[in-house]
Order: sequence, then structure tokens, then C-alpha cells
Amino acid sequence: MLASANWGLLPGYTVIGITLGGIYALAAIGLVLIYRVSGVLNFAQGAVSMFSAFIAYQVSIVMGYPAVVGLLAAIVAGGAIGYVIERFTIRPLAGRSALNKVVVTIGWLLVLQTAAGLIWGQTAYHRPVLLVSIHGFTFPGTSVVVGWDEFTTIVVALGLAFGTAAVLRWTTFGTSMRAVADDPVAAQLWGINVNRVMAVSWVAGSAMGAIAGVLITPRINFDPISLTLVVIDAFTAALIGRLTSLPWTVVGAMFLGLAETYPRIFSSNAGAGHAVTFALVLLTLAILFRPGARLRQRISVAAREYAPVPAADNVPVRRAVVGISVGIGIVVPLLLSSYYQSLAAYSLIVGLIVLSLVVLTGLVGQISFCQYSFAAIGAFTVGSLVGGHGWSFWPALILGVVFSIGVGVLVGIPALRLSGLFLAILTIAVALFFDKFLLAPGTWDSFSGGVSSWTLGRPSFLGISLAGAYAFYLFTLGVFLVAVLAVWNLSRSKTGRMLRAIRNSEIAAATSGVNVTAWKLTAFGVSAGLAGLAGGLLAPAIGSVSAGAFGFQQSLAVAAIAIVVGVRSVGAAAVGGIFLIFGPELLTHTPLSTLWFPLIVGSILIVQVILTPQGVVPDWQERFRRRFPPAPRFPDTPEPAPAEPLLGLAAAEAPTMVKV
Amino acid sequence: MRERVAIVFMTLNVVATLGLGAAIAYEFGHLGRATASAPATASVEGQAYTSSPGSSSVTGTPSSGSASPAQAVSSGATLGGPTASSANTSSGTKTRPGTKTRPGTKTRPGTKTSSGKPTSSGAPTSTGTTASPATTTTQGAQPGVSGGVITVGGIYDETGPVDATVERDTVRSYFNLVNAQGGVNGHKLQLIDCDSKYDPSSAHQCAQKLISEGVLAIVGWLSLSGEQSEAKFLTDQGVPIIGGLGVPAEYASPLSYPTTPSLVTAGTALGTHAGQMGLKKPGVIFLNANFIQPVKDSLLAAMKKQGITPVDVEQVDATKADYTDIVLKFQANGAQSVAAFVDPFSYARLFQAMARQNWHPPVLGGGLDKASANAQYASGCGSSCAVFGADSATPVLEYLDHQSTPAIAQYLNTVHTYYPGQYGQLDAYSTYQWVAAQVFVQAIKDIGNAPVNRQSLVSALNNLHNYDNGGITPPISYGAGNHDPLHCFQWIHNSNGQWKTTSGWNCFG
Repeated sequence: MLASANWGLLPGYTVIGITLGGIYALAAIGLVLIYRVSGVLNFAQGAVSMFSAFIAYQVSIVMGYPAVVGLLAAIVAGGAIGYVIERFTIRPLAGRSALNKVVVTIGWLLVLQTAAGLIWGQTAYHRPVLLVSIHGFTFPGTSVVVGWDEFTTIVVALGLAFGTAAVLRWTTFGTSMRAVADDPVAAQLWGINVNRVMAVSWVAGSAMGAIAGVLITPRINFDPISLTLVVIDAFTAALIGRLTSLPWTVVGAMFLGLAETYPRIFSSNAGAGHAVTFALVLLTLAILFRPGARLRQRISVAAREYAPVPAADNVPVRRAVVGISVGIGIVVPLLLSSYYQSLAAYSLIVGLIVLSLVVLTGLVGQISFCQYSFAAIGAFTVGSLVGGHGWSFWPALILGVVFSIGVGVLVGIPALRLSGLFLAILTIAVALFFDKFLLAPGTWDSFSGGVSSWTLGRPSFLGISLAGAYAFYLFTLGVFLVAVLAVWNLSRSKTGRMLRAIRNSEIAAATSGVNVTAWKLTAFGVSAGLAGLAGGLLAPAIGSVSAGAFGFQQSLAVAAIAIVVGVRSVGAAAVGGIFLIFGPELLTHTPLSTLWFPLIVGSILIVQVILTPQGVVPDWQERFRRRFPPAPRFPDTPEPAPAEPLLGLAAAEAPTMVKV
Repeated sequence: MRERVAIVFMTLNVVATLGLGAAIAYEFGHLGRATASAPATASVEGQAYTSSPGSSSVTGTPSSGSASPAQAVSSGATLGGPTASSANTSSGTKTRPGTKTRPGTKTRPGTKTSSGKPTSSGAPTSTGTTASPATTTTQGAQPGVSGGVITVGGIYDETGPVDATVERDTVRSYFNLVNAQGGVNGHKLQLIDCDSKYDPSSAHQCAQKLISEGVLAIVGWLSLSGEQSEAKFLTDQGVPIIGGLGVPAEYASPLSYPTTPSLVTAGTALGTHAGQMGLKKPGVIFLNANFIQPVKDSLLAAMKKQGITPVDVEQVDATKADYTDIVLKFQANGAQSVAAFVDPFSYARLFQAMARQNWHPPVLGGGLDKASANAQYASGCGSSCAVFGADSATPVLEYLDHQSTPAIAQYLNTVHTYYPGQYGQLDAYSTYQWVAAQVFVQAIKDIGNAPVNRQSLVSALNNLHNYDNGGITPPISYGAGNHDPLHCFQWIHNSNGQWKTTSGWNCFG
């Protein structure tokens, strides 16, 4: 591979890498500013940039005003969106865990992405606003022409990075910002208006995102999704800057740009660069965010999470509810068309993926945005072995689940050192590694099918053909119920108590003799296995397996849905699956289209995290428990404590226990 | 004990998964060696086309009226995009379509006959098909026909990197026009669409959905990554397909009725035209799609016949954002021209990278003539845009250059009336689907008062002979067996942002 490389391209590709680094730097600066001051990793930063860039597009391309006017409109819009996010959705979460706030920003990401798609169209057919000519100068020593727009991107990135660093260091307001960043309570005691400082950081960071959006769009696909993903790539640059140092973020961005570009000298596979990025994320997380690092301690304090022991139920009532639900699940699909029976089967399969999050997030408190990547392992193992090599479905499914468990454990190994935000970033890196490299055409086509899909039929089970929609639905219902029962038992067993103990306090659990490493890896393995099982079933359910069905966006959506329905309850799995599959279908029968679905999910996510952070299903269950209280075993036993929020407690209520 | 079991199990898993990793590494490394930029030498039967470039070109502008149900053509609409020409046909000697223009070029008969009526021209008129559409439908039921409404389906990439909503709305526009005029034989027409998201699995789910909804047929679809597999699936399920992008699978079923030449033929046409243009040492770029290999083979084989050897062949994904690396590779490999077969937006990014690098070689590409994309091609590059001077081939009348031709004017005005927002997005691919809608309506008309069902539709389509759509394409005929009705292209050239037709129909195969 290296021998066939055209090393004469090295100077030119260095220039490409640096200009790409300029894009990442620009995208990362607003992100770092907001994180540094407010402690919130703003997943919506790319969406704010994108939406602002579309405002510029509306003003300059559609309405015909000069590009500078478009830029100003974008800056105003970006700042306004940042203010709205902070004032109305982040500030009410004061005292909640950082992960709660991250979830809200994911909600905003979905809302802004969908809104832009609905207003300006989902596709990439948008002319970017050109502030500066794309013509440029030949870079000394190479034959590469650097466009003035690329040059401007780098200069603006450097200017913003060092300018913001200077403001933070040498101005009074900057000092206030740093004080708020270090300790908001102490800053307030010193008379600093913390809310105002937070709001300014969000407005400024978002306005910088707007500038980035307008400058970047000529170099990327101008659509509602691409810029969002660029900012997620920029996380890596921000990580190199420890999410706090703006100059180091710029250095990291340049390094990242080069790391992504150089592999293309010897490989036509565009995803090769992303494999390097993935390695870079792992390396950065491992080196800079090692246990004991100052920053990590701070995050951990903010992100204390306590999982309650499951409250006692009214057993007869619970059994009746479950029995009726299963009965409805068997009978109602009989009345539906085969298409809706198929959708019902998909919803149970997606329910298995939600269930996998119940294990990982609900029990152990480990967030994951790569569940569809685990599902992909199962799906493509089944697809390639059955569709490509004529295997029987069942051994292929077993192998798919085993491989998924293995990949889950591998992902779990670096995750042992991480939690909260950094684990979220790691799992995003995993999802993007699958999207852009592993499942991308040209990397491993005999597994992924390349640009084609694997096609396969439905198998027989114990001599009964599952080819019919209802038969296959009943089969998936059986699998789903067994999996739910297993997870429910797990959550109430000794193992479940150990997992919850790890979630509450790893130190305390370890002191009590729990092998934290083994059980965390087991949780990752079980979770990935469930997702892999879902993927393996999805293959014959659809009859076609292709990479587009297992992308990061799907992982994001299923995580969002899991949080909405309540990731602590096994009952949420069915509700989540039904919502995710039948929700868009329902919209096709209304004046709205399926395109509205992410917007609805995002909106619900934001409102729900603010109002009922434990999720919809646990909320129902709590109300149900109050309506049908369990018969007390011992008359003097006090009532169980109310369930705490999934993603953290109010700081004032939290026990004074600190992870180190 | 539990922990030990867990640890052993996980260790075994990790070992197995590392084995998988090794497989990836092996395949990736193997692939890296295999994809070194060697020009492909695969050969297929290309059509010889040996005339010299620059010879007198002719423009096929038929004078006959449209055979569509609506004869009224409103006037006054011209495209608002920067590349829209005022309503002119290209200059030069005009001939009827099908005139033999060059040695070695096969031509199609241009005789106009009454649409949809069997003739005695020797074309097969049998109504039998090898796959009976009725076999998979419910007995007694008539899929897609209910309460005086005929429902057809379409699968389109509505979200993702490729925008096929214009194709969907083109079909809807034509149906709206027909419905506004009272429908066809008392039936109103309705299109159910489904978003395939540029993803084969989503396309498959769409196909399943449309089948379950009992559509009569698929009409005028465009699903770039789904058509190749779903054309087979749908026709296997007994659903007739009319129109499409022209992927190979659409020419391999008696229930598929294409309204455009195959993309394989398009590859041959482009390769042949490359020889006429005198293209030298091209760097070649293909879209990475599941139907592209035979297209790639045909283009490279046709180039080889013309004595052209590409210096580099690259395959790109539709989501590729920056083409600077490919431009640098082409330059490093000594490319003197560019030949491409990608989607319109990918052209925009390719051209932008070329403009950025100040590299302006001759360009030949398929599907370049999209009004909105042309605005992007010419964005920010001043007078040195890569699209200026580019050449292309089109199997339908170049709509930007034939706005006064009645059939094209009707097409433009109808879309403008019903979907004004899509007017600037029209291109050759939407024209294919316009023709597909016309063919479908003509078949329904030909069914007359007989019950409309898949069998009668297929029968009417098989009887369609020399259907004249007003000259948008050469006349279309189907028959029993697989269908491949069109093989002709016109050459077009971009002159300072304006597309001009430079030849009559050049036919292959």
C-alpha cells in the first residue's frame, strides 16, 4: 500500500490538510468557549452554525443582498439561537448533571436540523454564500492553489482563537468568565452575575459558530446534516485542547486535518482518514483525560448519578398489565395489514436496541451513541453470511450476536477510564468510525456489501416458516419478551444490584468487592449483544441490509427516544420501539410529513428533560404505583423513596459523595 | 464464579473480534493495492462511432405536436436560472430525428404513427408476457384502482445527498394536468411517493410499502441506490415499472418499461463522444453506486475504441465534499481532460475544486444540464468556470435549449404551474420521468373502457408502438419480452453557461 503511494502529492495534501484543519478550528472555537464557561458540551453547535449559514443563504442567495449582509444576519441569528438555548433550556437545568444539559443540546440539534430541512430542503442543492473569492495563490513550494476563502478561514480561526483567549485572559469580563467556569457559586458570591456571563458565552459562542458556518459551507456539502457532523469531528480538535485551551484547539485542528488527509495519498478510500481520526480520539481520551486529571474530576462532581433500587410493585396488578399488553400485542396485529404487521415487527426489533440502552445506561449509567453500530455488526454478519455465502440464518445470527458482544467489550475497554461527556464523545467516535470507514464502500465490501445491499429471505423456526408478516411478527414478539424478561430479571438480581452499585459509586462498589472492570465490560457486552441481536433480526425483517440503516443519526435518534421514554424501565423498550417506528408512519396520515418526526422528538426531548427527566414510562409507572400501591409486607416499613432523575440529581439534593 | 465466566466469555469474544479486525485489515490492505490508479481495461461491446469531431451537427427539433392528452400549451415561461436561454432552438441545419448523420451511427426510425396502436411495422405486438402480473395480486381485486382513482407509486431519494423530489413532482405535475382535464377514461390519477433516503434498505422498505398499498404500477421513479435491486424485486412481485434512471436491472424484466436509454448505453455514448471531441489523457470520475460497474465498463471500453486511455480512474461517493485531492491526483498523473459520470451536485464540487486550482481542461460529463446546478457550477468562478465549454450527451431533448418546442414548453409550463419551486431543479432525469408519466397515461387511454388492472396495463404497454411524445425522445415501442426501446443521444455543449444542442440523434445498439 505504502509502496504504491504517490509521495509527490505530499506537499499538496499538506496544504489540503491545513485548510481542512482551518475548518475544524473554526468549528471548534465556539464549542470550546461555551464549554469552558458553562461546562456544557454543546452538541447543537454545528446545528446552530448550519441554521445560521442557511439564514445567510436566505438573505444573500435567495433575497439577493450582498454576502456581508448575509453574514451579519447569520451572526445575529446565531447569537439569538444561542441565547434562547441558554436562557430557556439550559438555565432551568442549573444544578443538574452535565449529561442532562448535553441531552438538551441533542434535542436542539434535532430541532434545528429538521427545521432547516423543512424550510430550505434536506438536500445539498444550496449555493453557499461566498464572502471571499475561491481563487487564490499558489502555495510556495507546491503546485497547490490556496483559495482566498480557505486562507480567510484559517486567518479567522486563528484570530478568533487567540482573540478570545486574549479576552478571557486580559479583560475584566474575561476574568468573570473564567471565574464562572471555575466555580459558579464562588463567582456569584463575589458579585458576578453568573447568568449574564453564561448567556454572553452562549451568544458569543453561537455567533462564532455562525461565522464558522458561513465560511465553511463553500467547502462542504451545504445541507442540514454535513455541518453538524463537521462540528462533531471538531470535538476531536477540542479534545486535544482539553476542551479549554483555544490555541491548543487550533493546533489540534491542524493536526486532525493533516491526519485525515495524509492517508488519502496511499488509499482511494475516503474513510481512511476517519480511521486515523478515530485512533486520535482514543489516544487523546486515553492520554489527556486519564483518571485523576483535573478536568475530569470537575465533570464527575457535576455528573453524580444515583440509581435507586427498583420500587416495589403491586405484583398482581403488574402481572395483569403485562398479560393484557402481551395479549393486545398478539391479537391487534392480526387485524392489521401485512405492511403494518411488518412495522410492528420492526418496532419490537428497535425496542431491543432501546432495551440495550436500558442495560447500559439505565443500569450502569454508561451513555452510548453507537448502539446502531453494534446492531450493524449483527446485521452485516447475518447479511454477508446468509446473503453472500449461503449460510443458514441461525448460526449466522448467533455469530452476529457473538461478534457484537466482542465489539461491545472492545469499546468498553477504553470506556473503563471514561464516563459522562467523554464516554459520549468516545461512542460518537465509534459510530462515525463505523459510518465513515468500516461500513463505507471500499473498506470491507465483503462484509458491508459496499454500495449494494445484502438481500435475504426470512428463515423457518422449528419447521414453521416465518415468511409471512404475522408469523415473523410473532417470532420477534417472542424474542423481545424473552429479552425483556432477562433484562428485568437481571435488574433485580444480585448482578443488577452490583451494576447499580457501580453506577452509584465505582469506588464504593470496588471497596465492597465488586470487580468493576469485569462488570462494566459485561454490561457493554450484554448491551452490544442485544443490539447485535436486533441487527441480526432486522436483516430478515427488511430483507435487505445496507449501511444507510445503521448510521450515527440512527444511534442518536434511538438514544434520544430512549431518554424520552425513560431508559431506566424495561417497559420503555416496547414504547420506544413503537414510537420510533410508528411515529413517522403516523405522520404520513397527517398534513405533516415524516420529515417532521425528528423535530417532534427533539422538542419532546427538550421539554421532557426539563420537566420529567426520569422519562415518560417511569413517570407512568410511578403514577401507576401511587394508584395501585403494593400491599406492605411489614406494616412499619416506610414508603420507598421516590425515583430520582435518570441523568442526575439536583446538586442541593445530592449526597456529598465525590468520584475521584 | 460469575465474574470468572464473564471474564472468560469476554476474552473469547475479544479474540474473535480481533480476528474480525485482522480480516478488515487484510481486506483494506488488499483493496489499497487493488485500487491503485490503473485505468480499467475491461471491454464490453461498444458501438463503433468513427466520425471526426466537429463535423456538421444537426439538431433534432421535431415539428410534430405532442401526443399527450393535453394539447393546450400556455406560453411565456422561460427558465429563470442564469443558464436559461431565451426561447431559441439552436442554429444550424435542422433535420428530423433519426436522420443518419454519421457513418457508423445507427439511427432509429422516425416515422410517427398513432400512439399506442399496434402497427404492422414488424414490431412485436404480442400481449403475452413471460411474467404475469396477475399471479401475485389478490384474486378479483384490482390493485391501485378504487373509486375512479388510479393509484401508482414512486420511490424517490427525497432526503440525503441526492434530491429526486423534482422527479416526483414532475410526475405529479403531469397527473395534475391530466386530472384537471377530466382524467383518463374517467379515472383520476394519484401518485404515492416514498423516500428511499439514498439507501438500498430504505428503498426496499418503500417497495414493500407500495406493494402493500396495492399500487397499480411504479411510474417515473428515481432512487439512485435502490433502483438496481428494487426493479427486480418489484417486477418479481408482479408490479409493472414505467420509467426510471436507466439502471441495468430495468432492462431485464418484461414488466419494466424504461423511457430512457440504459446507463450502459449512455456510457458507450459518452465514450464515443469523447473520441469525437478529441479528449486526451482524461482523468475519469464515476459515482460510487451499485449499478455503476457496467456503466464504467462501457464508457472505458468505448474510450478504448476511440484510442483514449485514461490516466486515472476514481470512484467517488455522492457525499464527497471536497474534490481538491482528486484534482491534484489528476494533475500529478498528467491528465489533460476530465470525463465524469456523477450526480449534478457532485459536479458542482468537482468544478469548484477545478476552479480553485485554476485548472481548466476540457470536460465531458453525463447529466450536466440541470438549471439550478448550473448556477452552482458557475458560482464564484468568474469567467473561468469549469462548466464553460463542457460537453455532455442527453437522451432527451435538451430542455434548456428547446423551450419553444411544444412538447418541452408543455413540460416546463406544467411543472411551473403546479410546482413552481421545482422549476429551476428540472433536468434530463426529470424529463425521463415526464416521459414515463406520458407513457403511463397513454397506456391507460389505450385500455379504453376495459377494466384497469396490472394485466390490462401490461397488455396496453406491450402494444405501444412508435409512441411519439412530441419529439422529447425518439418514438418509443415496447413488445413482449424485455424492453430496451431507446438508444439515441444528442450532444450538447456549454457555451458561457448556455447549453446548446450540437447534433441530432446519435444512436447506439
